[in-house]
Amino acid sequence: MNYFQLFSLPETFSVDKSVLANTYRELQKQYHPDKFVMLSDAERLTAMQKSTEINDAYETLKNSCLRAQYLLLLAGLDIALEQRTLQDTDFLMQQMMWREQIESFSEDDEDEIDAFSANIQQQVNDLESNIGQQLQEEALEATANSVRKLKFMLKLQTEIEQLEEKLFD
Amino acid sequence: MAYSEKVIDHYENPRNVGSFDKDDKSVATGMVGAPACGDVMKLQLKIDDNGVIEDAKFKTYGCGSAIASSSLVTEWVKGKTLDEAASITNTQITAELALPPVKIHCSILAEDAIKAAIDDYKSKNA
Ligand code: FES
Repeated sequence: MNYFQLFSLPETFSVDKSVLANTYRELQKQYHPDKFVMLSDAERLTAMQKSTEINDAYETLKNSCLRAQYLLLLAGLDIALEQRTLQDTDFLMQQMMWREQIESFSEDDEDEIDAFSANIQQQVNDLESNIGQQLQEEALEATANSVRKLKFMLKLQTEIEQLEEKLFD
Repeated sequence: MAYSEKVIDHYENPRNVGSFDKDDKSVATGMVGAPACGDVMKLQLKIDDNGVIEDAKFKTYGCGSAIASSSLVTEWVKGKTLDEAASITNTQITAELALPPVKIHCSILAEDAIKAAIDDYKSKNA
């Protein structure tokens, strides 16, 4: 049973977040370890495995990048552990510039940081809509490339969060 | 995770951080990124008329191992020909810095940055 089936969701890139969260709560209840104290060791082990699987599935399905990667895996393309580098010069130059910009922000730049962060969010949205489209067209290599780019964008978002914490908390 | 002494040394005193003008014909620029973690590296080589690397600079936004790997290769490539530089492998970098298996992609980044820089130079001077 794959993660989508486990959550009774269609195997598509767009998922209904509230259905996902509700199903997660239901499944968690159903397989809660407290329920298994009376079971035999073997049964308890199966139940524990199930509950781990539910958690893994939830972590994968709720994150757009992992979800796309998982859909690629189901389609036969496994990029989760790949170690090859991305060499798209224009894209990477832009990444460098953004990271330099993050480095240069100070606590007086709250508005600039907001604008910067909104721009990055827009880029993430665009990439996600590309991924949805590309998966629909079963363009696996193109999807994989967008997923790789998305990882760089998400890294930027993490860095913005860290910067904001450092400057404003 | 414990970093080796060599990694810490390069991380704390990175050699050759900086940039050359990427539009200069004698400058080779390699840009690479690791999707595994979202880190990016820029490696630049300054190449003399005899095809020998006279200087190298890098800028890396990444983990300690990636910074150490790029710092190390800027030292290694100086005085080498392009072909010699192209033969540097991530295994050599990993061995020199005693990187653990999870950090192999960081050294691959440095190896590929050299190759990307050489490609850039060749296409610029073709
Ligand atoms: S963790 Fe990304 S380059 Fe090392």
